[in-house]
Amino acid sequence: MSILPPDMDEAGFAAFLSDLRGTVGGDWVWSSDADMFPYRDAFSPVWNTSEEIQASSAVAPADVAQVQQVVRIAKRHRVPLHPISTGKNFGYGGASPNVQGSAVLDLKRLDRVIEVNEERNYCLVEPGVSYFDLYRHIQERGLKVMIDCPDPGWGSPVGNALDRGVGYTMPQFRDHFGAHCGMEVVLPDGELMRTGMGAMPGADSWQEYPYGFGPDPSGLFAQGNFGVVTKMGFRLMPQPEYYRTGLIRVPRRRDLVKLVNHVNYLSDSGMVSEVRFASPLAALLGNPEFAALATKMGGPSDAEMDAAASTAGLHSWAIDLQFLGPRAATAAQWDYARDRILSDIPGAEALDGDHFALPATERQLENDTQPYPTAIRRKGALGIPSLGIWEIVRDDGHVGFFPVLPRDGEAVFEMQRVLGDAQRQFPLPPYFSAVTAPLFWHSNTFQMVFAPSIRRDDPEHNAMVHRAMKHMVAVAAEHGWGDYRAAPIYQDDVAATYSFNGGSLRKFLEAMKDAVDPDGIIAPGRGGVWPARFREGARA
Amino acid sequence: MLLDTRFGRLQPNAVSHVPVLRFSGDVTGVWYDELDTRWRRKGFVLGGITGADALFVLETLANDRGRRVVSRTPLDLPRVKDVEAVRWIIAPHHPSVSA
Ligand SMILES: Cc1cc2nc3c(=O)[nH]c(=O)nc-3n(C[C@H](O)[C@H](O)[C@H](O)COP(=O)(O)OP(=O)(O)OC[C@H]3O[C@@H](n4cnc5c(N)ncnc54)[C@H](O)[C@@H]3O)c2cc1C
Repeated sequence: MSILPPDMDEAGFAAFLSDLRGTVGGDWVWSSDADMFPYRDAFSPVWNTSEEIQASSAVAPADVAQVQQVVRIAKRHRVPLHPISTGKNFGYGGASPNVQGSAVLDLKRLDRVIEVNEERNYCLVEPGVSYFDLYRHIQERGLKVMIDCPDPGWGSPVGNALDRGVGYTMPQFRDHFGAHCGMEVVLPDGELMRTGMGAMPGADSWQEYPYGFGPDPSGLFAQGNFGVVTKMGFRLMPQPEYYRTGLIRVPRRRDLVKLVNHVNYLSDSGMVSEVRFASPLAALLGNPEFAALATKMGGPSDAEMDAAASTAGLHSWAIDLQFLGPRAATAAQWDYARDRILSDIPGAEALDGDHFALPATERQLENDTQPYPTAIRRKGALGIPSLGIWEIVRDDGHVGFFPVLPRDGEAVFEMQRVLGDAQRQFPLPPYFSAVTAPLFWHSNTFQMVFAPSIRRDDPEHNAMVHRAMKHMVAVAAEHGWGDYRAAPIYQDDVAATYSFNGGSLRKFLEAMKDAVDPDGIIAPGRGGVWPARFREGARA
Repeated sequence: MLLDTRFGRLQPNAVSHVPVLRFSGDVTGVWYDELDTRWRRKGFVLGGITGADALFVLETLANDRGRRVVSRTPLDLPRVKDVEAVRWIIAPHHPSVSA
């Protein structure tokens, strides 16, 4: 037993564990190296270095009453708790905490699907319910609702939403925190609270009206450290009748500006599901001459890129469109999208894609009948959990920086140039080049991805990746591009970039943290928010 | 026993009556259709020859159900897309699932 909670000796730690065992039972408290191994960050770039932050212990309560007792015990012993739901936050720190020696509060045993309502289209779940569990529950009962599922499907609606994770269907569902409606929270003193209509005894609209009355604190629990969420409601899409796809390609580099505006219109009007942007020119990156052009310092000119496209006989940009709804409506929406874009962008062309009634067959889910190359993974697009995405994991995992980018073609070009130049000093594959397309995961904004792999047996490589992450976060911030989510080891760097007016946002959050959780019992440091007890050490 | 067909048509070389489930890299089907239910019950020792990547996924899922990899041997087979083949055994560990 080598890791102790902060400000605690062996005897104090033993007393803490003994109190936990007395509450949840000896089988559900862990502190040995072997038991704690799965709570380390398997994708850590600082694995086995002095910067790696590890928990001292873990506890898995069986129900909400036990969660309250665990929080009270932790408060009595002044031990920080790091709550996790399914603990699969790979790429963003796994199950590892912000403070060395914290106790992981593992909520996997709170695994009830409390309600799925197919007339009013919502669900209410506990934190240990995975996307697979929820999907199975719906399938086994033949309920006519569709979930929006991130990759991989072993995560949980609660854990994913609380880290503001994203999925792949309609805009109002794929921002998972945005799609939540009502939560129950154990506060840092062990008190139980419900938000929205859940605060009104007898209300039957908890999963329909998120706000209730007065200030709504639910945002404090996402990427936050103000409580332990023990129930959460989510809006669900009624099972759509039909799925349709179509591809639109545009010839010139600068056509992206108009294309983005059209996609914004279609998406904000509720006509399309997730839109995949791509550049067919990315296929040329294996050619050293083209790769040099696409990653040229300061970026290539439009004319250079258009000449390369024309020589290769390729389009500059493409969008994969997906429509969900009644068959006739999806046909009308595709017709509309095609006419709208083709009549505005000279040389644009459209290809009809697969379309079929839902639920899809296995063959349709394999997505091997699409008449054009596509990056869309059908299972995700149709709310079916899968682990297949693991095929993209390289080496021993990766860290992720996903800067938020305005939904604007010019901004896309600027990020390609600025971050492309910024990453040149690191020997990494080009995450940003003149053919890098924006990701449209969150409902109303774009992102790009910087996700270098790590290697357990190569500390020098990992140290380079670690430096690169910090550098990219800093350069992006100089241009107003902030990360949307980060592993504990990067949360302070990222939080520091949200610095308007001397960091007034962070000061406000920390004033609240000091008021409700002065000892830092709930996830101190999460989201860059430190209670007074740890603040000085953390900022030293 | 689980066999990952990316490494060819492997044969379980021990006892021939052990049921064999085959998959190619992605464990979703075998886990969702078979293992998720079996791993919620007590007992059930599972062996396999799979890619190290598939083993990481299975190990993570097994850990959720109180199980651990108790034996792990890298195999001298050609790597497939840089993935090494591993022979392993996953067995119950936590009292809630120990037979
Ligand atoms: C190949 C690959 C693909 C991925 N694709 C996606 C994707 O498409 N979309 C996506 O969003 N992510 C993706 N991820 C990242 C990650 O795997 C998922 O977001 C995953 O769902 C997060 O883990 P989880 O759901 O188990 O949440 P958890 O790990 O349980 O929770 C995440 C964090 O939220 C907080 N938290 C959790 N539960 C509580 C609670 N009850 N109370 C208070 N705080 C809590 C904790 O700080 C915790 O660390 C991907 C990762 C990989 C490796």
